[in-house]
Amino acid sequence: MQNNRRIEGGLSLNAKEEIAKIVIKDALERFKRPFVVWSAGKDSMVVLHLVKTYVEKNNLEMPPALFIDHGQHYDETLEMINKISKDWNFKVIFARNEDALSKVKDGKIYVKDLNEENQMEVRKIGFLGDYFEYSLETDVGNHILKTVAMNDAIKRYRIDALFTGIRWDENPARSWEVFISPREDPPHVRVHPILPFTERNVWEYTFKYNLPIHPLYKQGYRSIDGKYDSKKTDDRPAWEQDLENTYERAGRSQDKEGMMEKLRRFGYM
Amino acid sequence: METNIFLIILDTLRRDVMSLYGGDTDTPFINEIARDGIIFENAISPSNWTPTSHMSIFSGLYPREHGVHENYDEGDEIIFKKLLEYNGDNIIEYLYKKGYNNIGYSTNPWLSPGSRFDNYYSSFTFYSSEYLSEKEMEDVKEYKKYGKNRIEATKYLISHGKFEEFLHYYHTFKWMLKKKKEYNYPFYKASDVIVDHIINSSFNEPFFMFINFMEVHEPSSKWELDVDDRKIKYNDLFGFDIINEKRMNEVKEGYKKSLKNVDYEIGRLINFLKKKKIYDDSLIIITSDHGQAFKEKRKIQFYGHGNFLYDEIINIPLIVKFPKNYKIKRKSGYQTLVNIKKLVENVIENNYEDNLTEEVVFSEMFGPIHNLKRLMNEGIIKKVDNIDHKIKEYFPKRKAVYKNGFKLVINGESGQIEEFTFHGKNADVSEHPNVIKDLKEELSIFKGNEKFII
Repeated sequence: MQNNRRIEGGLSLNAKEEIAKIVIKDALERFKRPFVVWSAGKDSMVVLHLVKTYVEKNNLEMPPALFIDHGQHYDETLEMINKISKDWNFKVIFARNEDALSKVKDGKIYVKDLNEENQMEVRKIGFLGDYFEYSLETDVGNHILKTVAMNDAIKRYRIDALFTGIRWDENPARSWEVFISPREDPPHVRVHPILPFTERNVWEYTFKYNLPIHPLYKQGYRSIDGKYDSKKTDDRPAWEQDLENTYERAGRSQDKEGMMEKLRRFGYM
Repeated sequence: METNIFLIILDTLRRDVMSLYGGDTDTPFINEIARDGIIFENAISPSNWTPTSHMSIFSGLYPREHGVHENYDEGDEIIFKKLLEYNGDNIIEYLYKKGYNNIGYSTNPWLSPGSRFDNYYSSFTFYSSEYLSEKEMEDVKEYKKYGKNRIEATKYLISHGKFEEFLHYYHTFKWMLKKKKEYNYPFYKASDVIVDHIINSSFNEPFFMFINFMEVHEPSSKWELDVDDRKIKYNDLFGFDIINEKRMNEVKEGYKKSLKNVDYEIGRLINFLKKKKIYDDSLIIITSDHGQAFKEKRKIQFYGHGNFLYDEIINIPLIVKFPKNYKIKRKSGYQTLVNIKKLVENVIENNYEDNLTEEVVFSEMFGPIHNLKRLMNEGIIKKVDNIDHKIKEYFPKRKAVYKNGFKLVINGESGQIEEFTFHGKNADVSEHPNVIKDLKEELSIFKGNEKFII
């Protein structure tokens, strides 16, 4: 929200679309096995559409989408994933931490039940407890269910470039990101075509191109990641809310900036 | 103590001839290392020939990822250019930065000083695996001008009073015969010289030693001597001068004999390491860069390597002895040379685990490994009508995927399935629609944005 004006630099949506195209072109020319992270949320939907438009125009192949399946998606999300991938004709790879998901007991995951790799991952982020909640809103839950699943997919499919829908205005942790940003473990780059978009721009783009909209946004959610942790921020549709003066992730139970920083450090964002 | 590392490539060795893998050639000295280490049963080479495969070992990348591979029109002529363009990770550089003394020995011209494969080594020694130098080859060619064989040429020279020339050629041939006897050519291709060199040297530790032994690489029989191997292979492949069964058997025998010889040299090397108390704490990796086809019963029969993704060309041995003979737990699946870099990096960090095995592995080719049109224009191989069509038919882009015992090879020009097997035996495509779908899916993700029809 704050600093929006500095971040977007006063550019029009058209200009930002042109920037996105340049970023996409550069990444597709330089990398051999690109994927688009796609959650059916508004931001990744825009990225997916921008990539699709670019590859169709240039007679290239549509990169597969990577869907991070943490086991807590809304049914509506999964329905959208199936329908859109079929309608638009591209592959979706589900990245799941099968081991962790199979070890959920009464809403908890006991560290001793996890396989060696997952136990190592738990230790890596400094978690010392015996168990953690089956939730995306703790460091450890997020790391195991999202980051580990995603990193495994990056290794398994030898992904060298991952398009994501992060934006400068989302969160201070993201305000220093660059368009093509190398990551080390596992080695790949993150490609960020819509960095300069504001939340408002994302909705403008969505309506301009008539993109499918996740039904929960209409009910007032502004962020739709996990069904147990996301809450409505308002009863009005997301795009009618006061996007400039309130936090977009206020709808998630624990939106601490510290956690975003940590997630970034361990490779999620 | 830091770990010394040996990476020994037995160039052109397919695994099924070795007794370790159920074959009929016993390799007692390699077996000794295998007893102290781990035998990996399902290793697949990511490529079917030397530079591309070695690049995968050093870079930790598949051919299309590192880019140092043959291409459709130029074959091998593009390789050095691609080597110059590559600026990604490299295990040799990594070891160098970790303070390792990198030492290289090779008898394969692709891996020789100046090829860029020698970067970040403190020494890289190349020995020619051929007993004839280029100058001597020229002499032999010259001599043949005077007559079809030695007797005829000699008669001609003497009857024309060319005594000086006669003496020159006499000495050349005498020297050649002596060399043949000395090296028992073609079965020794300088592995003995390399091992002598190592035994008589001392090295700053920790060191990384890369050795490429060419013993089992062709030529493997007497009739192949002094003939361009490309001539033998392609004239056979295109149906001009068929290599008959008897000759193929001679080649196989020579191939196995060469394996025995290089095994013996590895034995000498290991004894030396044991005497110097280097063996126990070392990481020793013994593998190959690709195998060799001996005209097995295939739709297109072929002698040699490159050009196809047959099991005999890409199924290779892989034996790893960890420091202190540590036995790791093996994962199930396939091993790929692409993961050797990861293994070495982990062992240096004292992390001993199976970094080699994957659920799914791939191998790929991008065309013939020689510029066939040029070879035809230069008269090295006979001219084929409609060569473009033939190249497309015989050497399309191909990719192979191995998963759960199944192997699928796709021709990327036509999208056709060229091979579908289960544990090496032909399987029926129509009986396994889900497997085909799954393997195609794996290939289509693996190919990324490459133009390759699946």
